[in-house]
Amino acid sequence: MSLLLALLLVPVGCMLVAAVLPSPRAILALCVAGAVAVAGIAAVLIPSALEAPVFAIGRQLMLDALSAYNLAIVMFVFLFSSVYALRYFGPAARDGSFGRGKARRFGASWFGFLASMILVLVSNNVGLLWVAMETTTLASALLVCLEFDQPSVRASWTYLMICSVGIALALLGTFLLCGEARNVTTGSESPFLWTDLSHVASRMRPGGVKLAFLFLLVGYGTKAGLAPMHTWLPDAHSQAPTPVSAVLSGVLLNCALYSISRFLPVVEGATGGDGWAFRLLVPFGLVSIVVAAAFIAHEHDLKRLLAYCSVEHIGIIALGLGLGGTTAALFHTLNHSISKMVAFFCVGNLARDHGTRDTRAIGGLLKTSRLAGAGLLVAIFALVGMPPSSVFMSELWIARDGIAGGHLPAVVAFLLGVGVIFIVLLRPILGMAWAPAIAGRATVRARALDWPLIVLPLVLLGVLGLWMPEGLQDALTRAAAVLGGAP
Amino acid sequence: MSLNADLLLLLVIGIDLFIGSTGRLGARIRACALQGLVLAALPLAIQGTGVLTGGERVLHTVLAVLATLLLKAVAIPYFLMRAMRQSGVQREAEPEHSLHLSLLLCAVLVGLSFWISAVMLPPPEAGSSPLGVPAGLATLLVGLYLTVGGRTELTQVIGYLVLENGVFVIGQRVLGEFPLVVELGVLLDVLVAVMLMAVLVAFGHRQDPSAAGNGAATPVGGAR
Repeated sequence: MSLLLALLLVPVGCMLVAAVLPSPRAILALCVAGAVAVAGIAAVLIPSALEAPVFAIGRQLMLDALSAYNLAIVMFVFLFSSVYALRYFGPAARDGSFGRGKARRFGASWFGFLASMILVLVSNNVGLLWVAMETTTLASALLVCLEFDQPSVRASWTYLMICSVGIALALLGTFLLCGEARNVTTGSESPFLWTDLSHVASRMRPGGVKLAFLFLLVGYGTKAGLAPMHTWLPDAHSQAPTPVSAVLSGVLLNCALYSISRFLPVVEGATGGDGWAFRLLVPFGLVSIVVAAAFIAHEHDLKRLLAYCSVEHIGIIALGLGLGGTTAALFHTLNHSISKMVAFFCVGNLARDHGTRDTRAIGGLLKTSRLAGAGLLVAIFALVGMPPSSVFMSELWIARDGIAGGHLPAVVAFLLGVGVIFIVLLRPILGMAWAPAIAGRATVRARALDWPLIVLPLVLLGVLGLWMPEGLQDALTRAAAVLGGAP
Repeated sequence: MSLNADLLLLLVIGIDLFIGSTGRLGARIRACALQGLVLAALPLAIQGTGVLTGGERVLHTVLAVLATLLLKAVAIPYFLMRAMRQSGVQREAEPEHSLHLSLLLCAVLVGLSFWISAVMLPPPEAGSSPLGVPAGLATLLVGLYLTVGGRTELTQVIGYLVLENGVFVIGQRVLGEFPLVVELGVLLDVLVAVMLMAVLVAFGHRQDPSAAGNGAATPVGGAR
């Protein structure tokens, strides 16, 4: 059996086991063990995939440089979030409020979610990609309504409905594109495989391909949380249990954006490489940044703040792609995933310690919960793009590439938007830090497990901001080469 | 036995209009099941029933037809009916527009689809039904209208199904035939999505019949 197939089958196996294990604590342990196993397989596969694409089941599955790079981010965030899930649900598992039924539902959906995200990244078949993308919606909708109370069911319903309808439009786009490709494929070429699509792209009719891409962009853009299709995102992110929020925000949005970006070279090939598809991403990116700024300014729920912040960063990544900074956009994907994951971990701990997520009701952040408070502060500093974090570096690269490509107005709008978010996002967070501690609230000591979960990723962010390892630079270049770039 | 593709596609459009004209959810779900039945028969009509008597694609076609039939005409309507009974909502509550207006809107959408197909898109290839794209587009638009304009959650789910049917009709027309794994995967996803939606609808109404699913802002949350 090829390793690529194992990468898919191991999480599916874990999903089945989690659905029958009797004890909640065993299920949480399985979550960590399974994540370690899958990450191990990925670690073996990724270096060879960066060199040359790895195929399985005919050519239906493929891991190339771009998907390998994204897979690395997925596994990093998923591994940390699985450990965090152990920390998050552990006490409830001991006192019985995280019961067997809920634990089984969590474990099965958790691995189903992982398997479907991996399938998104490794499918060479655009139809299969769609199936995988819809499966991520189903698995994560189950995770969002894990508590099964009124707000979480409502959030899950909104999420499921909006994303399913959005993705149905992406299916139409997929059909239209493959229909165009079918007219020009010959012999053993398949109109459904990436590898063949990019070969025949130059023979396809530009008009039909453009129409198809519009549907794909709106469809998968809904899932990526690009404004104005982001409306499901704040509810789903804030109602989900925190480990789920971290994965939703940290990597699910990336997977959706990855699906869009995969189509860019095909559309470029069909339209003569004039950058039409890339230019289309610019307004979506800018609108996302502006919308996020407007909503962050009026939000008091910590998790919803982070959710709107995700809309902003997905917008920045789309903008980076559109402005020709492919490498910078990919680097930003990594930086956003790491910093957002840590921010959610810290918010999860704070919400538990203080019993609320309302920024106005939390005070003395650095006194009452030192580690989570300081961690959140640093993570937010990184997210607003303060040097020396690597987020600052990737945003700087995007601005540099945009100016070099002659997109000065878009870069100015981008910097203005990021500047506004700098202010409106820091205001409530600094307020929590400086405000006096709420009377009667005792200092909460961090558990041993919290330290590596929060400190390690933050250190990584700082290191990447100052020093780019040769291996990462090489991976970024190879992944960006798959996409090409805006002219 | 021969099936006429044009006739089936006209039936698809007729069902769209019927769904737009009735406020009874049960009737809408049954119409949806009928549309699934027509959709299952469509590949046979397009490729000719001769495909069943020989050739290497027999297994593929039979599986696709059976799966569509089982899921879209039997399983999905069953779950929707059950959700309807559990939620206790039988009718579209206080429709945004009167049913006459709703029917008129659907008719306009159908007309629009024919206009778009005739004016903006290249003419169909010889030998394929000229109704494929307009019927699919009309179904898609009516589905979108039901999802966006529907007052009850079940109408929205029905709208989603109708929309998905429209996508399939267009796909059938531009692709001829889907790879089996894709077709089965899509069907399975739709089934699970609808089952999950049905559970959420039923739960929402058990908790609070008035507030369920109306998208009211969630309060600033607790310790989650």
